[in-house]
Amino acid sequence: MNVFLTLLRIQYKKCFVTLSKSLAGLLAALLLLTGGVAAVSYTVMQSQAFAQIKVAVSIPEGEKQTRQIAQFVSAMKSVQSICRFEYMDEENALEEMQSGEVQAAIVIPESFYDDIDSGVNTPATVYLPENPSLNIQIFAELVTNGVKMLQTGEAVTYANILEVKEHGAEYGSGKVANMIATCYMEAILSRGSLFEQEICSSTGEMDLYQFYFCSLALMLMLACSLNFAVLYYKRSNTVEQQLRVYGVGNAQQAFIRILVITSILWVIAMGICMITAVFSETQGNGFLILDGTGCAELALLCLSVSGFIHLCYQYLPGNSHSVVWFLIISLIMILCSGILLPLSYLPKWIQPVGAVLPFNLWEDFMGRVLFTGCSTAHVIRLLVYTAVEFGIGALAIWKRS
Amino acid sequence: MEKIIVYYRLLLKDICKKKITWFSVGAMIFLVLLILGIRIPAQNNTKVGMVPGKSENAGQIYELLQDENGVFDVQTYENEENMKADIASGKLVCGFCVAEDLDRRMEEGKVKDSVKYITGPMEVKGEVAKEKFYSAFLVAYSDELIRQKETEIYGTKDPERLARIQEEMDRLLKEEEVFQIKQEYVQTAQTPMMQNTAENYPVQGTVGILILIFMFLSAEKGRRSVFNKVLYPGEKLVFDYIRLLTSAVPLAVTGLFCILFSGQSRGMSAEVFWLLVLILYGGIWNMILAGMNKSETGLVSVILVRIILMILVCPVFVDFSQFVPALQFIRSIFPLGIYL
Repeated sequence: MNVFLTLLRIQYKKCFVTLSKSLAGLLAALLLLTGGVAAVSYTVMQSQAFAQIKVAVSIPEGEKQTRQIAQFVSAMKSVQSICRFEYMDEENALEEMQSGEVQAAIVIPESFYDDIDSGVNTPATVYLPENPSLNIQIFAELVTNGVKMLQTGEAVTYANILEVKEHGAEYGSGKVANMIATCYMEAILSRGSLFEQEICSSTGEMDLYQFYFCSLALMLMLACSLNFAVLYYKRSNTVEQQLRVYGVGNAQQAFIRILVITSILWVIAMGICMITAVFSETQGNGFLILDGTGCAELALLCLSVSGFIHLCYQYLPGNSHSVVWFLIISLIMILCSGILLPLSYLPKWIQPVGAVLPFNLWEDFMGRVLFTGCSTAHVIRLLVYTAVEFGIGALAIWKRS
Repeated sequence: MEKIIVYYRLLLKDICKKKITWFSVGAMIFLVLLILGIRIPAQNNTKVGMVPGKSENAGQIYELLQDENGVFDVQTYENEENMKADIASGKLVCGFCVAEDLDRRMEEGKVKDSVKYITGPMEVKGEVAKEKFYSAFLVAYSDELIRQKETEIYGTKDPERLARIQEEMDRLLKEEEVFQIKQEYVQTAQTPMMQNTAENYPVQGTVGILILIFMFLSAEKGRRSVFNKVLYPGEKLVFDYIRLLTSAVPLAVTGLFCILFSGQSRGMSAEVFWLLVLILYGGIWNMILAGMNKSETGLVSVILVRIILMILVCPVFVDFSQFVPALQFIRSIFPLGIYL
């Protein structure tokens, strides 16, 4: 037992000494990885970004109902998401358009509401720049769609009025017009109920920030794990024999290594999560909240990561080159498993492979532990994966012995 | 000179026999294929998907959505899974999956949740696509809406009456006798759209990074080799340099082929020239770096930092000099920066 504990202490010491020696490099890697991940996430986010445009709206003074309608329209989700209305007179609207202060303008003529109400379809004017950008084209599309809905309602109303005038009905044409118009307005105002929304994200159940937080944490853990190669350097035969004499065989040594790696990784993971949790608490955004179950589940994740590290180093040469090999394996896995770029952005031929790589599983598990909720099935899946890793690692030890 | 040529030939033979060299060649080809296949969604994407199913009304809606002047390009899909995969990968802005029994729902006037709207988490253009979809749906739904109100307004149901109303409605819409908007285009002094003039070279960048790392590892190995110890200091420098240049040959040849076949080549002669510049300058650079690195344990940290730094400073995947202009000058210190 003493030998066992002494060996454990020596292994911890080796790791800490190596980590401290490469601390500067690790810190530099930490900063650069953070910058790199931020850059990648920014690039991915930009692909979905939409710059809101400013639209000048000119409504004559007397048009109170039109102004109310404009304010109602401007509050609609589809409108708010792409543009912001600024109310001004026609002259200023056109001036600001020409100077580029606003990107489009809508000019409503005098007595617009009364005209529409009485069946005189006075047109409104939409001013757009020559060669409009995609954002402005999207805005024009939105205006066109809104107008089409109104046109449909109007056409049906007019058609029914004509029918009433020519063939008669239960009610007069005025009442019929009101009934039809009300029916269509109800349909238009409740158009959202037609749709059942489903979000389909390249990052699964996590949002982009959560996804890249997990990616960064995992990459930092792997960067630190490059130093664990020192635990697997070949010892002389004499030392190995002595250890066996004292009852510390291959299995016990493997156990010590896994214990050391898991505990150090857990400390690193907890450090990252706690710093983030405290930071999000001070900012008040509730980005990350860590509880006791989460800490235990993170320990399980670290066990799985250490299983992978143990497996790799068992098969790699027991010298300083094993670190380079481990780095190469890690980099290839990072690229292929969708933790840097979501799996759906990678080529189709690599997606089935990437989906079963351990890094993908860890990212998913970490995201569930920290953000989206982790069920027993996910824990069991990770345990099975970890067991397979240890099994393959044990096979290497058995072959060597 | 003869000694150098002999040394070069023997070293090249030795390098070509090593497994690590062919592993690196394989890794380069794999990485280039992977990078060529990566697809990040374009910001100006306006493709929308639709799964119409067997519903007749869905077919009519799809026809109405085929608008030459519209911004959105609507494509049909056989099933929801394929459409979702394309939404997740960013090929589509959003998608609409129409219920199989839409016709029945419209007849009964119970259209709530009849269309599944699938979109990305931060996709904004999808909201406008939704409005477009609904405006087409409303035209198709008009028949049913009138039919539902028919008894209330006219007291009886009459198919001929409905046909007359529909005909009049179509006429009014066709002849634009309803509310219209005028679109006028004005000349503006708006700042020309910030053209993304930044260019990046993912294939050349990946090839360059792999060559430089391989040269660095070769420099590290050479520093510790016995052969170095038997050379005079002046000779040592020359032979070290030759070793670095030789170590780059297999990867450089593979990289050149990868670049030429990738479709992102800058021209054969340009690629050969800049590859030579990379190897010659990279050799000097790696000799200096290998000389500065005294520790084997720090080796991997150095490699990792180098890779990340090169990717951030040089226009490999993204040209960050559009955000930090100083990078344009800083990158010229790096062999990869000059190469790209």
